[in-house]
Amino acid sequence: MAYFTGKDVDVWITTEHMNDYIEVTDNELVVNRTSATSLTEAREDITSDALFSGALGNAGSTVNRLTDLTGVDVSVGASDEDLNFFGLRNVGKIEIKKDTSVTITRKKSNNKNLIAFQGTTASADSKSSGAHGARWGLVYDDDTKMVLNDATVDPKSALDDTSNQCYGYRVFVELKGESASGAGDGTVLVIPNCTMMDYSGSVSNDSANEETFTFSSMVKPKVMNSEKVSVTTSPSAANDYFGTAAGAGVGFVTQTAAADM
Amino acid sequence: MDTSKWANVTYEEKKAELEATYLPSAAAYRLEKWLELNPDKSPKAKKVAKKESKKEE
Repeated sequence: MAYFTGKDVDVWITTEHMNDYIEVTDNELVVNRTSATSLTEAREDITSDALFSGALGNAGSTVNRLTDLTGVDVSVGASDEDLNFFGLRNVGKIEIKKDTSVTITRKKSNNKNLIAFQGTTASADSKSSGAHGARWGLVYDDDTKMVLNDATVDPKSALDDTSNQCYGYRVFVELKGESASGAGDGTVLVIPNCTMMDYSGSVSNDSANEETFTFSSMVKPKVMNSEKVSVTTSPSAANDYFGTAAGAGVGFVTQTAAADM
Repeated sequence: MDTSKWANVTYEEKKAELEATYLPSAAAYRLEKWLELNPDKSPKAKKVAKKESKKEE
């Protein structure tokens, strides 16, 4: 477990869709859908109603990162299966899956994250009737558009309107920024397909009100040591960790493969 | 939303892009949304503009 103070790291939390994200309008969760077809088009500043950092295409921008962070607690682990063999002393420790969670504490500035956890969702933007939160991200409703997942679709079956894996949220924790533009020594931890696990708030009369929420995932996290360019313009560096302009390269905005779910 | 990025994109180009990226029904939905943001690019708007230019002539 590693604890970072808010000023140590930059954090982005996005949906697992390239350009659709969730907004809170009139205390209801709705989906902001765009007509972007490339990563370049998807890269723009999120709206003031946007939940977290928007969509995958919005990750990496200074404007879109989470603000007022006071603490980020990262827990990285794995579940092993112990296999015993006759005549052998040692036990086979076979990894089954990763178990990663990020707990974020920030100064509470609005009720958006609370609404994300407990709802409610506008019925027109829900997989069902709308009486749920946004804990499970987006899913394609098999009809026309992306809607909020109501947890009736299992993670591997939660696909988007391009038939890619779309379950939950992706958390980017930039552990180290680049020392200079293009230096390539930045480090980012990426935890894909997270579920929003819990939410709590604290109220105090002599300090800032705070909120704490946790994201958890069993999908393998990734660490990348590379460079970051200005994502709201036109990223072109092939090794940029938020992807290239064409959405190609080794950027961590690529959606998870079905086999890795 | 910043619509300037679509300033040089025609209706036909956008339609082809969306159909290549999204599932058919989703592409149609997004094209409809795109036209709401760019009403001057719809085929109907073009026809009306052509008629008006002919009248002026």
